[in-house]
Amino acid sequence: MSLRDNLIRGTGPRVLIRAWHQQETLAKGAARAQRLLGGRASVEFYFAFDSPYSAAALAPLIEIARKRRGELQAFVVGKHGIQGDPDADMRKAYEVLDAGRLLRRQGKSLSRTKPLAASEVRELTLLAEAARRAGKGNDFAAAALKKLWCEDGDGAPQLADYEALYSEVIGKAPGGALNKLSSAVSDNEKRLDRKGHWEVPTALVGGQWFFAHERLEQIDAWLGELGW
Amino acid sequence: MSEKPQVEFFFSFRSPYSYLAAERAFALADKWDIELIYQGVRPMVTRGVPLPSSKKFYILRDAEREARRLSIPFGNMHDPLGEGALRCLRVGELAKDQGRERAFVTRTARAIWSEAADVTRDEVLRPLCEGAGLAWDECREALKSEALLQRCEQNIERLRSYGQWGVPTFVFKGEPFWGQDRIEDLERVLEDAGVARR
Repeated sequence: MSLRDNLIRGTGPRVLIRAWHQQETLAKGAARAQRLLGGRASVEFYFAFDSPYSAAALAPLIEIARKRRGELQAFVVGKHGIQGDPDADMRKAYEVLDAGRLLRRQGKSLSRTKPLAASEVRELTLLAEAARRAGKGNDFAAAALKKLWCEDGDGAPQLADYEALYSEVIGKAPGGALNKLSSAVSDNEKRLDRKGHWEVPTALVGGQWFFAHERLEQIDAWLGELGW
Repeated sequence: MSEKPQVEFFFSFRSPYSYLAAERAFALADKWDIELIYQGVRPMVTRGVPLPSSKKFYILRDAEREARRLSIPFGNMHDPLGEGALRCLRVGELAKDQGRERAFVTRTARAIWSEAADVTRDEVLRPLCEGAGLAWDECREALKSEALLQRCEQNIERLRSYGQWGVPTFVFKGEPFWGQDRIEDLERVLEDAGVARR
């Protein structure tokens, strides 16, 4: 086997793992410094409304952030996943089955049996971005995901219902220029990509990425290791 | 044919998550009155599935984190992508025919992912085979067998017939569970289905 081959198959991954361990040590130091300066833990969360996993992730993540006195920022995206994924349709169908089981772990249940297309939740996505800009993004996103995946039946969401939810959470009706927020949602997608991930629901915590729906305990444990 | 309820376990030697699942997968048959059926498959990337760098890095980092959490040795690896994985798949089928798949799969996966075992080399693969109770002469024949590899291709078709694409995947009565972190959900379903514990 060539030197290059050995590098790719063995040495390279081993070096990466060592580098990540060092990064963890640095992250703990950085967290200590942050606390001394009165800072809080930061959880950067990316989600999408066509992802039932997002419904399983956000509410418990909000609780974890609250428990750790951290700041959770939830960014909504429209496009996510790997372009050209030949298994995309199978993934979407499986997600509904699997998210139902994950919610069952939390004592909750999924009300939908079929996947949603990104096009069916486009306006809801823009509402969520508007809510984030109004300072209540987490609350709206959690309420909307719960309604969409744990209360509504199959079929496209009714925008009027979610506009009413928006008014209830934000305290005023959404503005008329929602379409102008498309570029903001696109910025969220670019941010996710730039920071090194491709999918949702994902959380960036202390320099580490986690698939939030299936790593809630690990996120909590990592925040604990960081001293929060 | 076994009368016991069956759980299929789709596995790839190139998947670190399959390695993390393997011991617990085979141990399911110690805990529950089931037949655990090992189904070896070719690596995902050789099946035309795109794998961007961000995903490669995430899988490696997350698998290493999970291994630490589960106290499973991991990290001193030698990626078997290509010929290494195919050799292990062939021997895995031979082992399955002889009822030695648990020993071969768990030991070989551990060697690949924590002992830097380059399974393209006979001097590395041979002790793994013999340690699993397989005769090396039979393994050498298996390494040439297209028929054994064809069985793994059929396993891929079977996996896809369940609407699945990834590993490790468990299937019980047609219900798939993808991931080394879904074993608890599988066990809940086994319990609900009234499968007896041992």
